[in-house]
This record gives sequence, structure tokens and C-alpha cells, in this order.
Amino acid sequence: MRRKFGAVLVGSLTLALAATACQSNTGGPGPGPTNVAGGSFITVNDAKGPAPEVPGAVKGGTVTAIGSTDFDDRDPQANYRGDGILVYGQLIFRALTGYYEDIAADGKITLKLMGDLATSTGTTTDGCKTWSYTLRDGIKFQDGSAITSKDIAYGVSRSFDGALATGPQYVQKYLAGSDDYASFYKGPFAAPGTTSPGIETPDDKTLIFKLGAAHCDFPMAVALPTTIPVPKAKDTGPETYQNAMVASGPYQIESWTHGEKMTLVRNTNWDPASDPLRHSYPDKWVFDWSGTDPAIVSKRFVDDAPADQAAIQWENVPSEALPDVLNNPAAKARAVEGDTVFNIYLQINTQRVTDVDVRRALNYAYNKKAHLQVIGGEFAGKVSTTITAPTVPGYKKYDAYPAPDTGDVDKAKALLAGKTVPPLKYCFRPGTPVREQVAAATKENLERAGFQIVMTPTDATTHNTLVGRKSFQMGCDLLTYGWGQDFPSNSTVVGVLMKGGASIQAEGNVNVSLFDNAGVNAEIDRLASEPDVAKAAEGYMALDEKIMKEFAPLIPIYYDHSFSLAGSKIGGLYLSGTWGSPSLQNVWVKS
Amino acid sequence: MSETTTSGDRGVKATSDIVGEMMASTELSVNAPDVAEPVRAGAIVGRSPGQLAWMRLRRDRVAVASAGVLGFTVLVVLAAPLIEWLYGDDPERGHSELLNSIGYPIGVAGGASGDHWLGITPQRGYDLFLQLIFGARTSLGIAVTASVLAVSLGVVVGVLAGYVGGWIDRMVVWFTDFMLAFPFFLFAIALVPSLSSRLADSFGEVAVWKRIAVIIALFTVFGWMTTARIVRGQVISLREREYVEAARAAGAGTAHMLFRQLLPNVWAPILVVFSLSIPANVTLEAALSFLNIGITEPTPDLGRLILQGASNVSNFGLIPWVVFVPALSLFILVLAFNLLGDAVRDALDPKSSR
Amino acid sequence: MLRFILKRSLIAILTLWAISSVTFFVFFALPANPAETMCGKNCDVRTIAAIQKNLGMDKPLPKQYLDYHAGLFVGRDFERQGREAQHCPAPCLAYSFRTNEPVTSIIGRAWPVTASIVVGGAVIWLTVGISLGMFSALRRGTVFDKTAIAFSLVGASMPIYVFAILLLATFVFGLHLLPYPHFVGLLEDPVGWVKALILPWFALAFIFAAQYARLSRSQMLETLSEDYIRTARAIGLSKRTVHLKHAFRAAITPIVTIAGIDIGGALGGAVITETIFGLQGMGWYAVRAIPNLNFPVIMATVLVAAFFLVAANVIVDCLYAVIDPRVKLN
Repeated sequence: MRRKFGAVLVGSLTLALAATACQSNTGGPGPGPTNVAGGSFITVNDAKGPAPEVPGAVKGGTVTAIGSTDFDDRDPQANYRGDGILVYGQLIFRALTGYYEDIAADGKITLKLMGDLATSTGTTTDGCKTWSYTLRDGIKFQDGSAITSKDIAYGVSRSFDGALATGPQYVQKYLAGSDDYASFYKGPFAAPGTTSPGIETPDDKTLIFKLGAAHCDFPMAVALPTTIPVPKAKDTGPETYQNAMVASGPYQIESWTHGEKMTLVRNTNWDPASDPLRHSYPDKWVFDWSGTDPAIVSKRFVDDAPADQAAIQWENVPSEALPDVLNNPAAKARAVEGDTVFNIYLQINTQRVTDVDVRRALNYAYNKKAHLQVIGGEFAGKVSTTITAPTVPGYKKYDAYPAPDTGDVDKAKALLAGKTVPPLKYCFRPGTPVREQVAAATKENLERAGFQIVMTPTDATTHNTLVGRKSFQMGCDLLTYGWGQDFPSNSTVVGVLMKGGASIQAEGNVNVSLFDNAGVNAEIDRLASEPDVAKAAEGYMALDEKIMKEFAPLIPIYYDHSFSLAGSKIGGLYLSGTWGSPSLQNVWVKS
Repeated sequence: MSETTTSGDRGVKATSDIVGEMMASTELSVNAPDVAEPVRAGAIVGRSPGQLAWMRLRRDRVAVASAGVLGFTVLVVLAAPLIEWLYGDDPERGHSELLNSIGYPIGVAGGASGDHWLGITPQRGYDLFLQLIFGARTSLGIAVTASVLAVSLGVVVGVLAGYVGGWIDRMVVWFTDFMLAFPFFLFAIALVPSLSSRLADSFGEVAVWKRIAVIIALFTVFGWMTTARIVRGQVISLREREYVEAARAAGAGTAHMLFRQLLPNVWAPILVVFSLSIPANVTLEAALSFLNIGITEPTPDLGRLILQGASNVSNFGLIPWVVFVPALSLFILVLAFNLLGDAVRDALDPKSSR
Repeated sequence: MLRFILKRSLIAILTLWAISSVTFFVFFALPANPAETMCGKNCDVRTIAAIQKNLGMDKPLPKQYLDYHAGLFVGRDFERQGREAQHCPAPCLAYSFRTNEPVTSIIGRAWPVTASIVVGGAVIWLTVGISLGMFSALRRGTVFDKTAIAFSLVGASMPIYVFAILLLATFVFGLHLLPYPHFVGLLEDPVGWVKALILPWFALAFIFAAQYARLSRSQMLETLSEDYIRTARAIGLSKRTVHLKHAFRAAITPIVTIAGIDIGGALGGAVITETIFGLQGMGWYAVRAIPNLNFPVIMATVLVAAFFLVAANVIVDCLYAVIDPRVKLN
């Protein structure tokens, strides 16, 4: 999943997602709860609307979210940034399935996968190859017309179009049975009047997916925006539909000036009784992206002036504003804080830096503390030692290269003794003071151990394209790159980041360290077809540790942390571990 | 007065708003063609105009003080490596160990100590004192080089247009107007990244000197017009003077005409423009950093330091020196340049009462 | 006179054409791969191909150049792969594919903001700057004069980004005298309009007022030493008449000229002021377009800014000819 603001992550995620964990025929994480950070993850197949009331919450008011970057892609099928998916899913659009985060009195979050437009998360009778869904009653678009299975089928079909390729690609690839979904079906714009092969709509309430290969995580894949229903009659094309999108959730778009401001008002045709996932306390939402300087935006929140009291800060407090926030107990009490799903690495090109001891020495030498000091310390992240982030089911802490947070120069030098290491090319994205300070810190702290680092700033403007391009990756020894799960399974983390062989593609390659080991590839394949989710999660974690100990293809730097502020009149705000953003699910305005 | 001279006389104005916003003082040169009348040759006392101006300048206490400030700055900047060696630190060394976990200096007054006189900068923990000296070196180096190049180019173009006249003159006037109509700042933000990416070597690395060269080139290309207009106006008015006519009648060659007769009499406005364009370039270069283009980490840069100070205004209690020392240094520097520029103009102006 | 205006306008059009050509070259011919540069975030091979097609970059450069300029006058259609063409009505500066709208509609939104900042700021800086300069010239050597000189030197030596941030820190976050600027239209809410713009006006005006004070002071001193002023005094005209009718009018002429160009330049976008105060004017869009790689927007803002500058040049040339009796037109 792409990170908020896209600062670290790859641009297009042409994910080579192999068959993921298969288990019981209900899909999802299976009958027993799987542990996720601070809570658990379960599948609920009999959820009924409306969603349980939030204690104390009242209706009314306008909530403003202030940030500096719009959601990149607006079309429902093209949106793929964590916070964009969150806003679409929680406020504007409904999909086939969805997540509800149930917060207990002690703050523990139970993440529930439920049927959204569908009554359940899906049923299969042939080992995850065919999935059937029945739609709920009372589901309507903003114009009052009923949402039918054909609208969802059309939504999925249009996601095949090349112009919408920036969105998630799991469902397309699952239907195609291969990564090359474009040659499977070109989409309804290139072939008018068609829907994707493999989708059947025997009646308006029934939807059947016949996948090209068995995928037991299909219920999670259809929770992504790919299955947002689109009324075919209103679709003006992949470039222009985003200007007149038809809402299916509790709010509809009143106006949206891209990169500046979006206003949402109530969708009167949304029936809470048909929706077990969503509340709709505020009357109106405003997303304001005019705040150019995050430090000034933070000051507005510390200040809590009347105009900003019903507002949410939609980005992290930058380091310049941190002392101000921390010295102000009233402001600090209004902070929304928590770990996100992202883990940030310094990837080592294993095909250029072939000596594993050099890669180990790099792991020892790196000064993670200096890196964090630039971006905001423990409020921006916590020192990371694994490939898997703690939010991923099955995470277990280990440290393959124990050293202080500042690194262990002596251990690094000992590993390098007698070796001549050529200068290492460090590729980084330039363009902002923070990025450049991080780069300067990286160069300095690796050179302490005797490495010679050649600073290679990429073209800031095309960085996101470059970083997923194999030919570019081959020109770098070190490359900063982060990753977060697409759904709660390590198959979307270790399963894609460390998978070699055919999954290393020329474009959109997420295996940035170009790590390709036959044993590891075989193990990833085995885990993907492991029917017991808990066992698979354990297996991925063991594989994670084995990879780091034996091959050291990357340096884990920090587990991303979110720290932002909210105005004093905002109630029900918490940090969603699923999306790595403040969750809008329970938000209401205090009067 | 002919129409062409009108546009020459109209004077010179910073073009894009940003230049206007920041180029504090270029307008002064607007009236240079009117105010700084050609210095009359052969004053009564028998002193050359240059000697007269020098005398006036020496008697001006503000000018002497400003020159002192600037001279000291130049000295410090030139001796930067020596100071670094004596001081015992490196401006590009980050002192992570002196920062707390969120990147702010431990200890009072921004971590000021015997080793770090002005404390250290937040986030990276650079020594502020050395950053300031080396930052000023980068910024002044760029500003002075760009000013020298721009003014020289302006003189060449202006003399050419004014002396040769005819269609060359008309072309130059039009081209000057054309260049002045360019929204320089908008153009710079678009051009610098694109140009820098072209200059990357096969590894994608853009050497620091190339970045500096791009900025200097940009300042030069967009900075010569003021000088050119003024010089052209002066040369046209001088061309018809009796002493020039006399020299021409005596059969003087072009080189003699240019270097012995014309140029000595346009020095005054040229010096003024030059002294005023240096601070304008310093602020402009800093403004480029404000928008994240220009000189990048870890090369110290005064503009970037000021930015860091500005965004840390609310952290004054934590890092007082970072907040105001760089901004104050630039302010004093620009003030000194402005005062000296004014003094030079007054000294060279025969009508000045001072 | 008419001939003069026509001639100046013709030259201005020529200048604009040259600027648009250079801009075209910088954005379409200079980058290694313009489509990739414009593609920006989330770019993949297919998107690049689509952009190339959309912007007509698959055609030879001279053809692109002609299309681009034709768009300015008659509008143009951007072709789409297997889809309906996207029409961009004249004057088609460019089409922003990131925001899916002709750039002219962005400029339509941004320009009122910039105009509000610049016009309000200009009123302040002209009033304060010119009166300060004039009075200090008339009271040369007094404490008032020295204070005015000090003010103008401080203003002329202070970078606007430092001053603007100080204003915000003091009046908004320190003393809580003003709310953080949120732009509203003048007609919607005049009080809110003033509240939102007062700080930007002062930020902009402080820097400019200082320059105008210096300039008008030296102009006034210059004029006061002229022979005709001495003559006017000698024939017994009142001080008031001499200063206002004769000296002021002569001294203000070059200032009007410069003010015209300053305002023309600022109308293209007060980049730093807009950035710091988060006001969505032309400069804000240009700066925002850089990390978002919205090159059509950057290009258009360059052209619009150039248009205002060139237009200001023409107006000022004509005004100059009208105001200053010494200028002969031929």
C-alpha cells in the first residue's frame, strides 16, 4: 500500500502477488482471531446494519481535515494511497466487503472484516476458486437508484483499463490467473459493452467471481476500492468520471478542486440500516489542502483557534513544530498517535553488493537514531530490526544485528577487515530539506565505518517511476524504500518484497534489493498455499528472520509512526492500524 | 527625446514580483540615468572625478563602517578553511550525540559550549558557527560571481547598443525588454530542477559545482538588463558630447573611443548597480532555497540556514542562535551593501551635497 | 499617439510570442523525457504513453509547437487513445491532466486572490512609501527624515520571507489579534476579506514601501534642486503650490512608471507571500505545481505573469508619454 503523501513508497504497485494464504472456506483469516498489534483480526459473516452507536456521539457539525497533499488519484478504481482508501471507504463509497474497527473500553482494537454491500465476506465451495456474494437490501446510489451486482461487476471491469492501473491490482490478477491481466481483458472502454470474463451476475442481487487460480484471501482483496460500484450510465470515461463520481456511502461529493479542497455533504439515499460499517455523525466534511507549510498548520492546531477547533491535522507534526506541541499539555492531549503499517528500509542491491559480510557491516554501521532525529524521533518512527512491521499478523521481534540505535562501528569495521569495498552509490529522492538532511545523515553515518558513499540524488520529479524500475535499481547500491501491507497478511509484505525469480519485473518492481534466492522463493510459494493462516504467519516471520540473518538484503530503519493533532471539538478520533491514518469511522463534533 | 531613448530612460525595474519583493533596492538604479549625470571631466581643482568620489567616500562614516563590515566578512569567508582548522570541527559533521531523541540540542542556549560557540543546529546537529561562515562563503561566492558576470555582460551589451546604434541598437532594446518581461522567479523554479537533472553524470549525481554554476548562470542571464539599459542610455548621451566629437574628429580608433572616452564616464552608475545587485542576489539565492531549489545538503548555505531559523521561530527558547543569528547576519550584510551602494552613488553624484 | 500605442502593442505581442516560444522550448524540448517528467507520482509506462499521446508528444516537435500556439488563439482538442477528445477552449494555455481542467479555469480561481493581495498591498505601499519619501525630502535632515531613512533601509534589507513569518508569529500565534488567513471573496464577506488579507498586505507593502520611500525621497530632492522650482519660489508662489503643483508632479512621474511595472509583475503571482500565508493565488499554484509536476500549470503561470509584465510595460510607456511633457513621440 502506498504511504500517505507518497514520500517513501514506490509509485505504481504492479504487485506480483502470488497465491496467498488459503484456509477455511469462509476466506479471511479463519475462525480463530489472529493477533494484530494491540488487538485482533476476525471475520464476521453475519454483520447487519446499522453500525453500533459510538458512546456520547451526536450528529451535526462540519469537520475539516487540513493537510498538504491531495489523494493523488481520484477515480475510485485508481485510488491507492492509504489515506485516500480510508476516506473513500469510510465516507463516500462502499465496496463488496470492508473493515470495521471495534474499539474496546481498554482501547484494544478488534479489526473486523465484514460484508459491506454484500451480506457476507463471500462463500466458496471449490477451494477458493469460485466466490459468490449476495447483495444487501436497501443499498442505493446518491441518485436513489438501487446498487445492483452489475454495477459492481462494471466497477471491477473498468479497473482493468490502463488509465486506472495506479489502483490495486489484486482482483484483476486473481481473475486473470496471472500477473499479466492486461492481456486477459482490456476493460470496458477498449471493448465497449463487455464485462470482465469470470464475473457473473445471474440476477441483480447475486455476484459470482470465477478466479483463474485459487485465492483464499479474496474476501480481503475485494475490500479494496476495486469493487466500488460504478453506474455504467454515469461513467464518462476513466479520465473524467472522477469529476462526477456517484457516491454509495453516507456522504457525497459536493465539490472537489483537485489539490485544493474537497467538500462532502450527506447522501440522503444512504440507509444506515443497510450498512454495518459506517456512522455519519458530522453533516459536512471539508478536506483542505491549502496548508502549504506543515509547521504553520501545526501551529494552528496548537493554537486551537475557533476556526480550527473542529479540524483534524491530515499529516504528521513536522519536527520544527514538535517542541511546541510537547511543551503544551493541552495540545499534546489532542494528539492522535500510533504506529502505522509502514516499515522503512535502506535497501541494499544484492546483485551489486554481493558480499554478505559487507551487507552485514552496513546493517551494523547504520545510525538509525541520527535518521530519526531528522524526521522527528519517536514521534515519526521507532527503530526497526525486522522486515515485517509489528502491525502484520504473526510479527515477532528479533534483531539479527544487535547494536545500539546509533550503530556499532567497531562490529562493522571488524566485518570489513581485509576487504576492499568499492564506493557505494546511494540513490535518494531530493527536493525537500528533510529528505536532504536524511541523505546527508546516511552518508555521514555509513562513512564512519569506512564505507565510501557516492550521493546520487534521483530526479525528484520522476522518483516514483524510477524507484520501481529494475534498470534504475541496478544503478544503485543503496536505496531508501518503505512498504506497508495491503491487507493484514505477511503475504503482502515478505511475500512480495523478498520474492525473486519471475516476480522481479522490469517496471514496478517492489523487490528493490533484487534479492533472488531459490530456497526463499520456494518457501514463499509454500507459505502462500499453507491452509492454516496462523501457521503461515509464523512461517513468514521465521523466513523474515532467516533472510535477515543469512542474506541481509536490506537495513530495517524504522517502523513508521503517526503523530498528528486535532481540534478540541473533535470526538471519536483514533489512529487506524489498518490504514496508518487517523480513522474517520467514529468522528463526531462536540457542540 | 526619441522613443527608443524613452524606454531606455524609463529605467530599470525588477521584473517578477518576487524580484520586486526581495530585490530590496534595485529601483534606486532607476533614476541612475537621470541622477547620475555624466561626471564632468576636468573639474576646477584639477582632481579627477574618481579622486573626488574617493575623497567623499572616505569622509562618509557610514560608508567606512559598511565597508569595514563587508571587508571583515570577506576576510572571514576567505579564511574559512583556516578557521575550521583552528576551531577543530567540520561544518558538515552532524553531532547526533548532542541532540535529544527528537533532534533538538541538549543543554542550554541551543547547545552552546566551548566547542560549539553558537550551539548546534537542530535535526542534524551541525556546528552553527562553522555553518554560518561556510554558508556565507557559498552565498556570497554565488552572489558576487553572478553580479560580476551580469554587470560585465550588461556593460558589453549596453556599450555595443549605444555606440553602434542602428538596427543593432533596436534589437538590443527589444531583447532587453523581452528579457525583462520574463517572470524570472517562476522561470527559475521551473528551470533549475530540469536543468540540474540534465547535468547529472552517468550515476545521476549532480556535482555541487554544477549546481552552483546553474544558479550563477541563471542570475547572469536574467541579471544583465539593468546594467545594459543604463550603460546604453549613458553612452548615447555621451556620444554626442563635444569632447567625444573632438576625439572622433582627431581620428581616435574605436578602442580608444570606448575605453578612454566613454567607459570612464559610465563607471558611476555601473558601480552603483553592481553594489546593489550583490545583496539582491544573496536574498534571491536564499529565496530559491526557500522553495527547495538551489544549493542542497550537506553544502552549507546561508539561505537554507535562515529558512531553518524562520521555521523554528516558535522554538526560540530552545535554539535561540539558530533562529536569529543567520537572519541577522544576512540583514547586516544586506544593510551594509545597501548603505555602501548608496554612499558610492552619492559620492559619484556631482550634484550630491555631501 | 495612436501610432505609438499600436507600435508598442505590436512589439509587446512579439515579445509575448518570443516568451511563449522559449517557455515551450524549456518545458517540451529541454527535459530528457517531458512526458515522464509530467507524469509525476504513481507513474507507469502506460500512463507515460497516455500523457505522450494526450499532449501530442508523439508528434514531431515543430508540429507540437504549432499546435501549442494555435491553442492560444482558437483552442485545441487533446486527442485521447480510443476516446473522445478533450476540448480546451481558447485561450488554451494548456490542459492540466492532473486536475482534469483547462489551466484557464485554475487561473480564473487564482487570479482574484493574487489581485486582492497585490491591489490592497499596492494601495498601502504607494501611500505610505510615497508620502514618507516626499515628506522626508521636504524635511530633509530632521528626525523625521532620519527615521524614514532608517525605516526604508530596514525594509530594503529584510527578506520578505523572514518578515512574513515574523508577522504570522506575532499577530496570529503570539498576540492572537488576527485569525490565520482564509481567503474569502470581497463581495461575499468584505470584513473577512480584509481580515484574511491584512497580514499579506503588510508583508508585501513593508518591503515595497521601503523602496518607494527611498525612491520618492531621492526624486523629490532631485526635483527640488531644479531651476524651475527655484524660479517658482522666486516669483513668490506659495510653498504649498510649489511643492504640490510643481515639485510633486514632476517627482511622481518616474514613480508612476515603476509602480505600474511593479504591480504588473506582482499580478503574475506574489510567490513568497502566497506561500507563507497559504493563499491560493497564482504564485501558490506555481509553487504547488512543482512537486506535483503539473507542468502545464507552471507553464501557464509563466505566460500569464509575462503577459501582465508586458501589458504593464505598454501601459506605462503610454502613460509616461502622457504625463511627461518632455517625451516626444515619433
